Amino acid sequence: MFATTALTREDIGSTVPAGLFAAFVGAAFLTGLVGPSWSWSPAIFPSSNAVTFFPALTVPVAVGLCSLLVGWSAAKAYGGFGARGRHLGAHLLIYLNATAIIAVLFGLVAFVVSKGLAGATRGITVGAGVGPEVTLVGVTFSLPVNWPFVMNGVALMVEVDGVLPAIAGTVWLVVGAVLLAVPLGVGAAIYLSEYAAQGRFTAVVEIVTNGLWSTPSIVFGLFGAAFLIPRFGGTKSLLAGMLTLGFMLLPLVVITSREAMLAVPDEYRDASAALGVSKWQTIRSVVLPAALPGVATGVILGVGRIAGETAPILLTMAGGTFVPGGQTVDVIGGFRFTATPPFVANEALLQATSALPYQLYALITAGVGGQQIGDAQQFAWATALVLLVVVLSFYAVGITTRYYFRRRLHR
Amino acid sequence: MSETTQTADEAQQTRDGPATSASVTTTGETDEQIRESWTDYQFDGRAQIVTEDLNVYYGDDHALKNISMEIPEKSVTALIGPSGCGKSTFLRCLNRMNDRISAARIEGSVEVDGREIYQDGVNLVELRKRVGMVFQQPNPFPKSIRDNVSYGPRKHGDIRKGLLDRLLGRDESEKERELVEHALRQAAIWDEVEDRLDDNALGLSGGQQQRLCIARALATDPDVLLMDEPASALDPIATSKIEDLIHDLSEDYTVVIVTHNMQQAARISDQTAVFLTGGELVEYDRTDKIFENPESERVEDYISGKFG
Repeated sequence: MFATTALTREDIGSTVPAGLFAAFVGAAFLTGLVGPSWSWSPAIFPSSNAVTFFPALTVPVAVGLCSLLVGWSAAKAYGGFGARGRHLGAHLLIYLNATAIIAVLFGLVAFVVSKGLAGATRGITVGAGVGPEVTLVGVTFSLPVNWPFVMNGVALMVEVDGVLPAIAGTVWLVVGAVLLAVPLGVGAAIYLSEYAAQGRFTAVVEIVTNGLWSTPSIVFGLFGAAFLIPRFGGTKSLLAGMLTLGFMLLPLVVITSREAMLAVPDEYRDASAALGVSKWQTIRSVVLPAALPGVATGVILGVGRIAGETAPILLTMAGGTFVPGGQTVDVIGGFRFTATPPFVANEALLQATSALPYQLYALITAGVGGQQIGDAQQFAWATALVLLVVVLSFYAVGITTRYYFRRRLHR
Repeated sequence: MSETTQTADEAQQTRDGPATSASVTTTGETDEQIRESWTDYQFDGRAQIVTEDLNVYYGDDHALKNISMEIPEKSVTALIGPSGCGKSTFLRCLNRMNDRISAARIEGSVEVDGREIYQDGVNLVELRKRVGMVFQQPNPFPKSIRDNVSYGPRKHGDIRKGLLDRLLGRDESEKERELVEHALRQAAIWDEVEDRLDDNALGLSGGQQQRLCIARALATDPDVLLMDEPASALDPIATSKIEDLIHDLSEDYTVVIVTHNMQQAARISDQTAVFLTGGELVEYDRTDKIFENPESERVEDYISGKFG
């Protein structure tokens, strides 16, 4: 009788059960019913210890749940129940949701920073002429900063071991993959959205590109190892890694560029055609600029994924775990002209090198080369921090590019 | 076709006496009647656009039926009629914009300045440079005002500008400046945008955007300007500005304008063509004649608001 009359009323029906539940949980914890030594193995699972709840997990979850429930009913009570109360309650839950996402992100970053900062900043010295010598546009000078962790490789004679070769490897990987995937992908998207008749063919292509994008990265890695490597001299190489990651990036670039171009209003195309401007010129000077922010979004998302990819690199690119600083891959300096076709060669592209995610994986999971460097844990966390910074800087570059293109459209 | 139209047709048929020949069309007027009302009429001035037996099909839909009309140069010709009567389709035939619709099939002849435009080897670029178009919704590109106006000439190679041209010393920014100012003055918007030519065109108001689109069309130096309900998305003040502009433009250009607004047609046009449902051109005559003393009962009904 109470349940049918009172619980359907919003004021009592939502606050009283919430309060009762919270009081019950609180009492259970306070009276020691659920104490430090408590554990519960539900009998419905066949093996009695297969699933066991321990207080270390149960208590925080229960407390979190209670506070959510009480907060929700409190918000309803504050709003005076009715439509406004429900609105306020829902608002609170959504707000908490968004805050939780941001908290998780910041917590994660803060955790990596706190663990890795010591290792990453070891031995930094600032002052004129302390850094390594750099040659820029023919001028050789010493950097005013010496940051051993990002400027050194791993070697016997180096005081602080560093990850410079891995950073260079990751950066070149991403650059190579983007250089391969963006022109191809945007070209394919132009054909699909502007030239091909929308029909069965484009539908099939769409399904296939979506499928490619969801293909596990290890499969791409296997393809690279089995198909690309034999064609590039039979050894793992930077070029093979670039192409493999480029193929991974390609479907996302096609998908997002196509969406972006289909979203360009037909009025622009009509207006341009009515001025007697050819289709290709219209695409180049109206459709593409209007679609560029969307294309940039796709590339940002894709780069975020491939920069941290480990499996394909493991199979196609990674040589020894630790590369001495002297063997840092030098793609620009590696170009040589040859007398025979294709007249240009680049040894650096055909060498195996390292990359940040792979180095991290090798160090932590496989424990490779841990004895070479002093403190493997510290080194690993510092590597993770550098990887995070590198990926986030790619993000920053991408977002700046997108902002620039948007500004040009709506300034 | 609505119920009222058919009863009106039947009433008219009984009034006119029994139909004389087998060539009675579905609407109740004979082909001869439809044409006689205006084909023998001579407008002042040279005919700039001549269509003959123009038929347009969208798939199985017969959108325009045997349209033959002459549009005199340097005047305003209004195309009026209810929605779906084919007046926009007709307009889009005059610069071959219907080619962009793959389902459209066009038969018959359209001559611009005595040259057939529906034949092999017609240069669409040249045609559309000579026959400009303004659309119902203002559709400036998301570029600066200056780039919007100079877009056509630049793409046609009439103005060379850009990094390569600057390096080769043939940058024509001065020429561009003159052309942009000329076109914007012609479109009566120069005073409003003079000091913000580098601002994005999307920041302009709807009426300004539409006048910018007119300037953009004028920049390619056309002879004919096609306008597809250019003021229907605008407020009354912007509309009256566009109407004044059309009036001024008709001194130098042949303007063909589609409009839903009969008062607008009466105000600005020299001659009016009335299309009625089914894609037929029912009557084409001097505007005052159409509005005061139309030949066809159906046109009179339409103009007085009895249907459509």
